[in-house]
Amino acid sequence: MISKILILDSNDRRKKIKETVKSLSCEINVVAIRSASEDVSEHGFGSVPHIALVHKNDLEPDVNGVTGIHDSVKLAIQSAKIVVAYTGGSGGLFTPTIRGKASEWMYQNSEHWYGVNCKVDSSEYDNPGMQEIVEWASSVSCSDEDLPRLLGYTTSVEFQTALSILCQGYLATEAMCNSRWTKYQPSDDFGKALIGMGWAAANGDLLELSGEVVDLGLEVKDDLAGIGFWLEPFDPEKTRDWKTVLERLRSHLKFELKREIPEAISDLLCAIEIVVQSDGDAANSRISPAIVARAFLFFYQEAMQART
Amino acid sequence: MILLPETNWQAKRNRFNHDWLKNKFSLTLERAVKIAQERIEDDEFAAKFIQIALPEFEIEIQNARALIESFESSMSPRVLLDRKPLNRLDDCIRDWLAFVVHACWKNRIRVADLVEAASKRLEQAFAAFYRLRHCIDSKGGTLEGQQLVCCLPGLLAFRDACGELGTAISKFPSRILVV
Repeated sequence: MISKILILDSNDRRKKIKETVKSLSCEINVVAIRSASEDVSEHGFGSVPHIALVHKNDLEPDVNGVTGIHDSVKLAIQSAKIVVAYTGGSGGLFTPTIRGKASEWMYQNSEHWYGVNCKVDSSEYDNPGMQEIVEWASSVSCSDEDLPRLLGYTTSVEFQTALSILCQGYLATEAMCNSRWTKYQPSDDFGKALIGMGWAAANGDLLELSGEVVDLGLEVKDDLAGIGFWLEPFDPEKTRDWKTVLERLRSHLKFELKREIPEAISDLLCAIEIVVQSDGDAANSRISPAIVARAFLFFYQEAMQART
Repeated sequence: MILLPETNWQAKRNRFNHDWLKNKFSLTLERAVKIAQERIEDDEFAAKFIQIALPEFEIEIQNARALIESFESSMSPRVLLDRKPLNRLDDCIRDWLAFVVHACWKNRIRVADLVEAASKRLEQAFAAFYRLRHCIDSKGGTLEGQQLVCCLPGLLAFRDACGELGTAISKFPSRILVV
């Protein structure tokens, strides 16, 4: 059980974090300091289980006139069960980044450091999120498998990213080649996708393209209808064993999404599978733009939700 | 949700806007303002502000300028076409996709507006800095604390301009936005 918490922050944010901790338990002794150069030896951090909540900048060697970190502070952080470094910076603070810094600063417990982005001094401060962190760090196991939401690792998303870009290329080509004859409807999935990706305005206007760009789009139009367009990026060994490549793509997407593949993406993968199975049969070798549009809209809506 | 790892541009933006401007220089400016308002006396700090902190601004503002100018090339999702897995595509398709995602991104997040607004704030901060510098220089021969007192309006204008610059730079997206 945790009996002490060290808070290090040169700003008044430390008071807010102290309130967060105190709202959870009055039995935890909170020591809040404004500078790493202060002496905390009298609090006996070296001998009791404790955690440290530190503002990232206050550990930098030369910030705000701090010329050094007091040995007692270093000991308190070094012997902490968990160190949570926080920042309000818009770039966030990833755990691998702060662990690298901790190693650079010669902290032996760098694998127990976590980065978190929480705007303590703004109205966006996620008080329940910080409470979850303290509760988790205070628990006996505090395992990585049970990380509180604000400490979640950022995993690779390269398959989702790639697929959403392929969708955009496919839809843009479709719009460019067909807009001269059939006007899309801004209210249908295809139109919504073009508007969401920025290729079209709500009034139906498409991006103005130079002749050179139109030529480029026309040049690749047929290539975009082929299976290589959808699967080559996911075939690093260039096996062209599309069934296996497609299975691997499914598996990676499921891992990245951390859940079952949603219907819109699944439909696109099934459409790609049909093209693979068609073995060059022209009637089945073209994926419907509506299916691609729905897949893109899934990524788009997820992104919009994450930003609100 | 698609969340890409930090890029060099974001790391540089963080170093300038969050680490230096907000958590270092702004705090220094606030203390200088208090001295100028005669709420506190600290001639030693005033001297350091004039001799060290202000010249530092001239260096850091160049970093801000480079940040703004490099935003479009560094943060466009177009850069992802040069990385795996999309770099495995045929060159011609990659060129087309690069054009599509870049044009869409510019249109979607209004890149030109963001860059223009930040550039304007940067020039305003720079102008406010020179007015303050000129004011301080014209009071040469007196104690630094007194120089700040005489230049309070310029100092306040400079502080506000720096705040506006920080806000404008913080409006740039913090991630490469694919959608």
